[in-house]
Amino acid sequence: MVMVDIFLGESSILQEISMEMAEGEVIAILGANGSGKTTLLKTISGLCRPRSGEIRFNERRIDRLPPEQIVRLGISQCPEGRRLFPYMSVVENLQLGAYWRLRKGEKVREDQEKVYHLFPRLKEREKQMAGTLSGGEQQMLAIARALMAGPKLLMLDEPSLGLAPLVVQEIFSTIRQINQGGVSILLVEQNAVMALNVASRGYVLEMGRVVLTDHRETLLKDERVRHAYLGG
Amino acid sequence: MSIFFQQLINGIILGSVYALVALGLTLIYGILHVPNFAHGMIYMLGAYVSYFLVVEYHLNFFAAVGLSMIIMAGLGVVIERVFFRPVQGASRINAFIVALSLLIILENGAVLLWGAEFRKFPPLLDQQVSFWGISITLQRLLMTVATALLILVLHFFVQKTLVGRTIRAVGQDREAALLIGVNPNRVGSMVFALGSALAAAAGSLIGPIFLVHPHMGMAPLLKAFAIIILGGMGSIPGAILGGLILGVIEGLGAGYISAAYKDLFAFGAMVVVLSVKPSGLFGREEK
Repeated sequence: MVMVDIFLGESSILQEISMEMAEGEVIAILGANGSGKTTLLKTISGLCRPRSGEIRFNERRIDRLPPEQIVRLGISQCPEGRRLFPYMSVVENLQLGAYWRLRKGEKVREDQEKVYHLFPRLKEREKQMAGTLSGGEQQMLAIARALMAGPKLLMLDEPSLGLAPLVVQEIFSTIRQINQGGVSILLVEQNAVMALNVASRGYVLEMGRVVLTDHRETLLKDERVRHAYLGG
Repeated sequence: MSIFFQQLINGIILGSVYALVALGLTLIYGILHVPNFAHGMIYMLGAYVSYFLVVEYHLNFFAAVGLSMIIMAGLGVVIERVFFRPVQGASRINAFIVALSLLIILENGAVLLWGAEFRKFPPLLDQQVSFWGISITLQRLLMTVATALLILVLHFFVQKTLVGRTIRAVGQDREAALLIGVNPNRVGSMVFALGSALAAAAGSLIGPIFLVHPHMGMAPLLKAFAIIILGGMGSIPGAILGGLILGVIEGLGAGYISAAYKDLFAFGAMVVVLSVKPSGLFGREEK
């Protein structure tokens, strides 16, 4: 479904990334701060350009396309720090998530019901300004907004960041539910245990390079991963 | 007491035009973060276009205003594309200097093309309407109604339509707007088109009351900046309320103290508001 072969990314943060993902998979991208995880997602979304290499989505090269076309192909990103539209209501944020589909004249009523079903708390807060929601609710809204674009691939950048453990549990169980609904998921996380609980495979990044990739069981047992990201 | 109401009405009429100029300015600043000094020149050019359409082509006044708005919207799109888009993402000072240069080019261009003389619109609906001891010309009344209508239409467009939402989205988080598939360049064109059309409307509507000349845009430009600072940079309700407040202060100040100091009252009000609430009346604290 997705093939990434980057030899040099924009501003040289990414050095050598080679990864592949099949439809329906949940893949975790692990790594410390500054290892290039966020830049990798931005490059797939079209916000950054690789200087050499290529990215393919369902066989089609996308590394020269602008972000607005990439989202139309079915890749949606829920960015780090949530990046909601803080002075708009929950429902306005959701509608904007479906912006390109609404422009085409598609009906998104059903999808809205679907995300309310996934995150019932958002329905209760429908009219509230996004900026006044709690951290957990904001993260839910960010994921819901990304889902409203109707993605085949959902990329989540640090969905657990700054949230209480209970909320993190809740969000990860919803991520699993989203995947069971047929959406492939690329998950960037510092919380390696949580990530490897839902992902079947993972890539470990260091200084903009893939230094390790394997199935979750192997990664969870790997000495380097345990030492660096699992806290011993 | 009748002086009070007379000056209040005069202030509201003037203030509604200020609000119209300030709206375009705050829209462009709030979404694109460009301090568009050329805005006052669009106001002036819009007035000239209406003037020529009325005097040379004998068009109906309101049709001329409409046409002038369309032409200036087009000019706004060109200005954004040619002058401001290349400096997008560069240091803010670049857009600042581009805007200042445009102001000088357009103002002097107008002198070169049409001379520095003052031009007068043919009289238009100048019969008086009197009520409660206040009298205003029908023209001023119509002008205020037209301004209020434009403000309402803009408000509806920005708040309620999908396109309006994408405009606000780019203002609130440009990168997030990119990720949901909005083309920010298209939003940039649209914002400049809207802002310039509003400036053209303001210049055209005020043209028959004051006079049309190449320097007519400077005072409203400065006032519009004072208004959007007073109201909160980028805030639409702030621009509307700020415009009205400034107009009323000027009207009352001119009526009770002296018309010579009206700018002092206007800018004084700005200083007072900012010392109490530094982000302006409707300002959002920087994140």
